[in-house]
Amino acid sequence: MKKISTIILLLVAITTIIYQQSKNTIKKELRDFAVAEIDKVQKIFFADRFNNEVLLTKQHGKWYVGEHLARENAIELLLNTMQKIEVKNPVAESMHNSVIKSLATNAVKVEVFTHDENTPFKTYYVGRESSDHLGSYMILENSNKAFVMHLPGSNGFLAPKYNIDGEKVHVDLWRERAIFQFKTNTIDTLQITHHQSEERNFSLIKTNESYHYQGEVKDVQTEVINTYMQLFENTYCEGFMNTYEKKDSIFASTPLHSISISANGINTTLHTYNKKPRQLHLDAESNPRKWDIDRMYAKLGDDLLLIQFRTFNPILYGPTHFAVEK
Amino acid sequence: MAIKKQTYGRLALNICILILVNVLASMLFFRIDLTTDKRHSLSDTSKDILQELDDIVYVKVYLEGEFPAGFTRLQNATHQLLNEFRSYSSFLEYEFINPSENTNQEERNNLYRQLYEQGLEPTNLQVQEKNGSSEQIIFPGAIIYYKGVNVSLNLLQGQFGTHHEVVLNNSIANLEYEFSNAFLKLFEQRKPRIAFIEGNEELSIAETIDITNSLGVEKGSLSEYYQVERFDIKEFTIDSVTQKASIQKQLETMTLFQAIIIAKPNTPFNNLDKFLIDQYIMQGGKVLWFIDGVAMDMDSLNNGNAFSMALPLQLNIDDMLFKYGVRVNADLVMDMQSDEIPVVTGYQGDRPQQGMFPWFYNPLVIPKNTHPISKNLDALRTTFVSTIDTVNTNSIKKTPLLFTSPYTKLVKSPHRVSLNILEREPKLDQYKAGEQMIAVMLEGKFSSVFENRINPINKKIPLLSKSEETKMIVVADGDIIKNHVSKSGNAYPLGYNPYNNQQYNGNKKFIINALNYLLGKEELLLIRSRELKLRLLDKNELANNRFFWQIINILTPLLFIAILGLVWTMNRKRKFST
Repeated sequence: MKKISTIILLLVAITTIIYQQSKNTIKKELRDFAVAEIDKVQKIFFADRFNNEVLLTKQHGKWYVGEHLARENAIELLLNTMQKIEVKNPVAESMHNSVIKSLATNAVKVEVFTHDENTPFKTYYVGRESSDHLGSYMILENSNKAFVMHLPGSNGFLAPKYNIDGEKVHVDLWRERAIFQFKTNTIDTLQITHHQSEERNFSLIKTNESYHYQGEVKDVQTEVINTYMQLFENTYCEGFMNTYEKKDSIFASTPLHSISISANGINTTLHTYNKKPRQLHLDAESNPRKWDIDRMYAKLGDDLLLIQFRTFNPILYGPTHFAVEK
Repeated sequence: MAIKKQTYGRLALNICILILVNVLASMLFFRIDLTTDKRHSLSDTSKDILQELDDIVYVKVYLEGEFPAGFTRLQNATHQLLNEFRSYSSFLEYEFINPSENTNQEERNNLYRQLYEQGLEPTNLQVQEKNGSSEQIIFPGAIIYYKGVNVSLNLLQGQFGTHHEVVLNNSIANLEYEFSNAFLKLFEQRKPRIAFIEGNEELSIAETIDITNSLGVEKGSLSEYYQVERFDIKEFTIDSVTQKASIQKQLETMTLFQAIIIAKPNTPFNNLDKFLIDQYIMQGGKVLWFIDGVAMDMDSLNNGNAFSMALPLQLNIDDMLFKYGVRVNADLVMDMQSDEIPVVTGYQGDRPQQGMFPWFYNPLVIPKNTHPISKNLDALRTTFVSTIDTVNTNSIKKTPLLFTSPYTKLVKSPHRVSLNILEREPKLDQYKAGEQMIAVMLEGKFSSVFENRINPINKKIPLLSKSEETKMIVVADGDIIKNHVSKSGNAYPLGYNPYNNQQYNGNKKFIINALNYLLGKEELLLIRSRELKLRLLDKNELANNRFFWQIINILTPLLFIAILGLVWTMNRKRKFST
């Protein structure tokens, strides 16, 4: 009996000492947002209040968003954030109720899965930015304690690191943005169509490991063609715009250009469309420009893309680009 | 079966007793501190501050990891103190963080940069390892969050010329004050108003910018505690009825300031100025005087002159100060413990060669007294400082605050200040004037300088001849509060010597402490006067009898356990032998 009493007393004493020695007074289960072993994460699920959902899965060492390949740098940023987020400060009690209400209505749910794919290893909610914009309100599932979380060393809030656009999540934000990734000499035919100036149309057809030019120009430079074909090795769009409400009307309009590529028996066609400028741009005669001079829309399969002239101007050169200088 | 029941009964009883004891302990909370210097006891001021907490205070202490013994002591002391704080307020939460934990160097550097920008000062440590030594950066500081705002707090206090163990000990002794002060800063909703007085060629906004708003990364300025304004004593509001300058209104405006700072005036005060300041004091106003005894500055020497005459500065306030209980003498202190200035020593081709020389007219004041205003302060940089004498005034308590080093020489003005003194070795036997008082605090009921005199201004304005209980501090150097401003207009931190990049933090802290004391935060400042005795190992004894003491340290606990075991066994034998 004495022994049991002694053991109980000892346990109480040890617990007290451990509590006294603890270097953090906030219970771990309330602030345990970080995922230490990030390599073990196999699946991440996001859901917003608009019923938008995003599922990131790791397959054979690569991350996918739905059936699409996910952007490596976005995944890297997300995992790094998940691993290193820390409590910036607990939410003040005077603000706690309003923050909880805000989290309940605006937050994005994040579920992190490791090996057991049916039960999330960790679930928390990412809310709006704190008043100083240096952290985000977050709360763990089944917790009643909200925190301002941040990434130590980084000045800013966390929503962009979780690819949260305002209060929404979307697959498009996670997708890999490569449009063309054709290795040299894998393209069999390439056709560029300028719908508003047909004289600029041309095509390049592979014959015996070199490309034969078909178009208005007679004498073309072979080296220029080879350099030109390298443009299709890594061509990126700025982003996907599948949630844009005018997507169908853009697709129904007449394209500016069409780029058709046939490689390994697969045909790929990209159509470009004019885009209205976001802000007022004036031309040389001080008239407002009708179309954006930096960006265009594009259609690739069923996707609406935002592309930049900076990337596509070299691809859409007219045939004179290939002509032998005289 | 019966024995089992009895056993469980006893267990239940013990558990109940344990719970009861805990409940009682939580109701009858008390602590006993058996240390002689009461190092584990909080002051009543701190307890009051903690009991006033109405929301979560979150303290992030960036002092975690492997440190040399001294820093581990600082870490443990901080930890203990925060636990003590928690005993008095459940709103206090804390976390210890190792900022060097991240293995990614870029991310680690980003965190260092962030902490530095937030006001934490890094410290380089040399850490001994198996294969030599390595350098470690630590941030001995904390950031305290409260209701969406935060303040940073450096736990390690820089003290020029002080042994690092003493610095650490002083830092530990000041922990309670620093934390309590930081809490107060966070809680204070409306800051008291104070003003720099203008009108007599006092220091400009640029020359007082650092003490007002803190230029450097290191925080600590008057605006953290007070609403700092500037008040031109010669600029009057015109009375709408009489269309005349309203002296009464001017006095009323002045009394809105809880303290005024008179920073290095250069032109004489007229009777009206003196009347306003005097009556402000008589109404209980607090004054911080930074007064030069002689007119002399380095610019006089920098303009191509090898010498300049230091003449008595006629400010026409001698009678005022005398009446209040002090006299700023028209002399200069030359101190062998001094700051350096650059002097051209020769030319290499067309290029001047400069050397740094100690300039005895710029004494470095290292406070040694135990008054909470100046205790444990870093060195203060002074320039052409004069001495102060106290005058016998019965109702006024006079507390000296700053002294020069003992190695001083006093020169009366007019005095020829020349750079030529740098060419000769100083004669040590001339520097034996001893410690000179250069700052003093006066507390009590002051008599007006206009007492028993005809009201010099306006008979309609009642003259108060005796003040309420109030305080003032007189410093015999205007430059203590002046930050350097370059010719191009760039302001440097207060106490900074741009020529040798040496920063003396004492100036700033002295001024802030002085104002805090004047404005009734003396209880908080009293925490600063706590003395924690540094119990260092006796180095001589250590060198001579190292092995002996090692053996004592190892064997004594073992011997103690062995004796305990022996007594225990003997007791059992005696008990069960019958």
